[in-house]
Amino acid sequence: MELKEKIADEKLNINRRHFFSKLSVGLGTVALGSLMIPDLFKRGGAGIEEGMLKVGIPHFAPKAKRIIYLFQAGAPSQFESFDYKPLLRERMGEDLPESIRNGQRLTGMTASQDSFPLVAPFSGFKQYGQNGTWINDYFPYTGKIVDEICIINSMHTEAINHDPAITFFQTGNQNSGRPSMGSWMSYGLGSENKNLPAFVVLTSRGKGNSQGLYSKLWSSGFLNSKHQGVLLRSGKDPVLYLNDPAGVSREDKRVIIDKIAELNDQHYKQTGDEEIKSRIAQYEMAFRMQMSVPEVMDIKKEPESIIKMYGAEALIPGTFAANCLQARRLAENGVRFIQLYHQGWDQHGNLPGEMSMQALDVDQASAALVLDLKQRGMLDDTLVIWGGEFGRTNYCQGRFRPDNYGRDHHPRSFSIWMAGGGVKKGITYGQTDEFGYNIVKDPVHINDFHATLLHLMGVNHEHLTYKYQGRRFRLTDVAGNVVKGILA
Amino acid sequence: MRLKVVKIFFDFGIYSLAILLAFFLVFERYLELPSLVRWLGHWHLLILHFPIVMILVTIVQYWRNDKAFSWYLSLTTLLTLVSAITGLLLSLEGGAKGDLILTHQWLGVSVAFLMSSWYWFSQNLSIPKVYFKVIQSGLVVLIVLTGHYGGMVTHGKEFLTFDPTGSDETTIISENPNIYTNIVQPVLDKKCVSCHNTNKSKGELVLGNFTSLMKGGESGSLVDVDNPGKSELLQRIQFPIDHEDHMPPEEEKQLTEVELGIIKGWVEQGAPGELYFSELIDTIPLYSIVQSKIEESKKSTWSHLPEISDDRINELSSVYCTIRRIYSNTNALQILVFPHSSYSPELLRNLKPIAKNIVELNLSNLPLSSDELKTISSFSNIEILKMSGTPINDDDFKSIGNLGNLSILKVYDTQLGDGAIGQLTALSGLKELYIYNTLFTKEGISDLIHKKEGLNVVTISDKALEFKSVLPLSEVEPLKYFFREPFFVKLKHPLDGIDLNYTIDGSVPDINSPVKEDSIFIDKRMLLKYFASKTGWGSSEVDSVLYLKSTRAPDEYELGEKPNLKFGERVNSLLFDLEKGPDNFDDDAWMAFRNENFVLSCSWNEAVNLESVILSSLIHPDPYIFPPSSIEIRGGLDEDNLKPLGSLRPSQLSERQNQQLKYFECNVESTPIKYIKIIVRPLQKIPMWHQGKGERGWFFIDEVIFQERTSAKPI
Repeated sequence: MELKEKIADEKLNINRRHFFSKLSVGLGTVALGSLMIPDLFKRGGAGIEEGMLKVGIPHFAPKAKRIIYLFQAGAPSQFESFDYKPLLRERMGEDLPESIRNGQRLTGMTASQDSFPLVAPFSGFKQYGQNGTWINDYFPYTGKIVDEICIINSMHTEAINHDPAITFFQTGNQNSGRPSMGSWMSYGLGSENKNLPAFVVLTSRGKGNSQGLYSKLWSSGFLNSKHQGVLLRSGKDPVLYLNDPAGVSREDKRVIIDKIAELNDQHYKQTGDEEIKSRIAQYEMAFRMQMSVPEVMDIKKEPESIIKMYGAEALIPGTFAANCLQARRLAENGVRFIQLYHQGWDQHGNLPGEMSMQALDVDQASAALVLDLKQRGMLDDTLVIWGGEFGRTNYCQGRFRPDNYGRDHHPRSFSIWMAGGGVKKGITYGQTDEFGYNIVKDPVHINDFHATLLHLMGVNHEHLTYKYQGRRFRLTDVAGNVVKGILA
Repeated sequence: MRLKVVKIFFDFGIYSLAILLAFFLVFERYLELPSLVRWLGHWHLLILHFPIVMILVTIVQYWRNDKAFSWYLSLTTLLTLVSAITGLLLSLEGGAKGDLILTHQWLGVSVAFLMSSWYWFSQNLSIPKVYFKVIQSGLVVLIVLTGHYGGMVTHGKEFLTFDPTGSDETTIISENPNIYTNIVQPVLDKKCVSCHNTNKSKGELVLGNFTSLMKGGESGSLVDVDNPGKSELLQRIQFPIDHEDHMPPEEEKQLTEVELGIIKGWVEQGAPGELYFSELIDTIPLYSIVQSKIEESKKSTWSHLPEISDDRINELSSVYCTIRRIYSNTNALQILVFPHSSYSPELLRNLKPIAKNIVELNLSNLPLSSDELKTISSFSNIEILKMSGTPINDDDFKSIGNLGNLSILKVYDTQLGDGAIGQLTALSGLKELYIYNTLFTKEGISDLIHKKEGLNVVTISDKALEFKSVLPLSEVEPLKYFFREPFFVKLKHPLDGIDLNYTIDGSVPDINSPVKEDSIFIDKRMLLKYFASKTGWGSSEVDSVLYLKSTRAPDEYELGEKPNLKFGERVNSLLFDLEKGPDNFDDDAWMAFRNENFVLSCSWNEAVNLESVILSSLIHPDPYIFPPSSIEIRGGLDEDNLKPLGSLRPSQLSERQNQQLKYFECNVESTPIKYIKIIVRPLQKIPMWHQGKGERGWFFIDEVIFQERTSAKPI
């Protein structure tokens, strides 16, 4: 279609094709709908928005109302955390049998390596909790809450490098451009608090080797931009450009926003571009966020016992501990999806040293968050997730040294944990072989993971769709099964 | 003539529709219908009524020999075909077809084809009347059956079955039901007891209670505890329906899959009389069946809530008051109110018209008082109430009233205390109470638990008490390391009530060291060591700051060679600005040298006597930044005749390390000087362990401190 025609079409908000397709669907739905929804013909009755799907309300009673995702960017090693493999110590230094590796592709970093010596974790493992779950000594506090969490040792992905892997985790596709899962949640379930974004992002950085984070990871893709994740920064201005400039009072700001909204509205009437409407709404939201964000981010009222639980680092803005505490405050204030990223888990070398520092950054605060939610009765309807984008190899990258080694990327198996929000407590799900290389029981693919998350939030992942470029898209695209084994 | 045209129209219409119907039936699986065509299917529910009446009318007209009979016949056939086709279209919408729909479909199709054949035969006058009689009676039977199945499709299988006991699906099941009494017995009551009761005990079996069930009937005991799978009860209900011993008998109402699952699961548990839901392992199918029963029962409690329209919800919502249905079509509402400056108790009073619909209410962090609590006492269906972080106290709480459905109450971070125990005890349905960070005493809590059995009181988690925390380092203000004029520093800590101990003599501070004074006076070279401590916390690490006093800046200074331009232009004055660079080498505070030497010439108008020269530098081997290979100091009173005053060969790194700020201090011979020249040679060859072995290293410098000789020996 010519651009001019397109614009002319947009003005009408609807063209001939839309008209016929909407008319037919509309009338049919009205007829059928009137039989099922008594409210339908009352004024302003049950609306049908954004295609056939009534978005903004769960499909069924949800277990989880919100998600706090503690993303460990860079991929922490499962062998120094939750996948206990004593065989690695027995066969330390031996080459990984080819029958186990079985043609797994390698990254550019180990492709030229002529041997793959198995390496055991430098740190020890202890048993915790009622089921005696083995957890690495780097994570003693996670050990204390092991009866509250569900460890999945059988996650697997297809990507072998950071960017595609993390994009896959966040959007359900290795190529960028799809909406982030927080955006899907915001689109599908709406916001509980109209004064805060439904999808919030907090970042922190450890001392270990780290990889980049990009705002595309919390982009709303083809969904309306109001579903985009909002990055809250540490320090004085959590959201950039939110404060009034010097000399502009809040009353003036109100007038400015109203006038701009009028202009935008005119523009909307001319072009019919939905994004203009969401822009108007965003300005309104930003105006309210000027009041709500500083209040939520202010931790001065938190009692000392809480600070002590999360660790004193919680007092230092921008640390993982501080972000965990913020995450709880945001959750209490009705934010639907709170995404934390902690960078620095890419241990290709110096693993023992770096991993211990990284674990020190996150272990106590992650455990404290789970317990804090529990003592507030929020763990039942808040899902906490902890994990990275893939696993690490059971063999050593580079020269073999038992006391200072590195591990390369490994997509075939890795570990994450979840807590609360309708997930079973105190279990370990899935299993890898003795080498910790391949999954032997209950594999969980990223698509399955997404399907399960949506299920816990009261959404059928096959029904949460958005039509774009001629076809309906889902977070799970054309795959994904709910992992029934972890549902409480 | 015109009538003939209409007749032809009917003929063609009927033939083509019949062919179309046949086509749809054959190619049904391959059909992908456009939405407009699919929508036509929705009219089936309307159209279907016409043929039912019309067929019967047509039959009557046939026997009455009505003149217009042939018109009736044509119109009825047409309508029947249209009805069948739309029905088929409608059936394509719902995904896989169930048995009911399939039966209804083939019956309907039969009606349509039978009707078409009547139409076809009626064109041929030689057909004997008996044929029509057969067709007509066939039609009547088929219409009744089609209608019956159609009714079941739209209204459910049970709709047309007369059930004198009425629907008992809404029995309320408690949160922790007894599996036999609350789950199994209702199934038996519904499907078995009509034949197996004390009045009419077929097979000498009574299934009205646990004892008689265990006794069994004429074929022995029903349950085999040692081998549950072999139990008579299970075998009987699991036989195929046409099996002689299948129960319930073929003609009776059968067990549904869920009911079968309940009995099977219970028998597999050993058919216990006293087994509660909470004792079940959550991996067995029985667990999820019972759980969904509990949830169903919960939903049905909500089904009694008054109807509420989306309109009403939108009307009462505002940006600070979110009102949502708990899930899609329920009338149970969740309400969240967020703090804002214009909040008043009026907001809650305005919700009174929907009071009965409020199931969950979140008022956390609002300035609540007894006013709101009075309003809440009229929200009789409320189940979850959150009032954490509000200023309510025991007096306010007296207004709470008796909310019998309230099961979860969150009042953590409030001033509530033992005075509220009376009201809490009166809340008959209360299951969970969150009182973390309140004024409740231990005695009060145990009193409450004693008074209200089954109440889960959540305070601070015991696990959380095991969490140890080390205090973070204190901050020193101002952030300043080099000085010419004396100044004060202060130690600051983000937590209150902290003891800050310090020393300035180089010794390690302990709790007996001086406690933080308001400010510490820095007037000479000084090493401040400090740490933070507080009871209940781990003490912070000992941190230290070295304060370096520099003599007055040289009156003139000049660099022999320009710093490397790779990091941009630098002004020479940054070497004397008393600012310390950060550990990031890319910062403007740093001057970099590699292929060039750092040669600095300075002069003072009046002679000075220096103790040492300190170069503030950076070491960061990853980007090739190393200690220099040598530092040489020359000086004197005569610019053209400088004598060597001191030199330093810094030790080299033997392995990788992280970036580090480093001072190189070179002692200087005691002599008055007016001129000084500092020559620093960057590392010529990087050591073998480094990937850049053999190459030149970088030398980074941000400040030069001239330390004047004093009588006291420096630390």
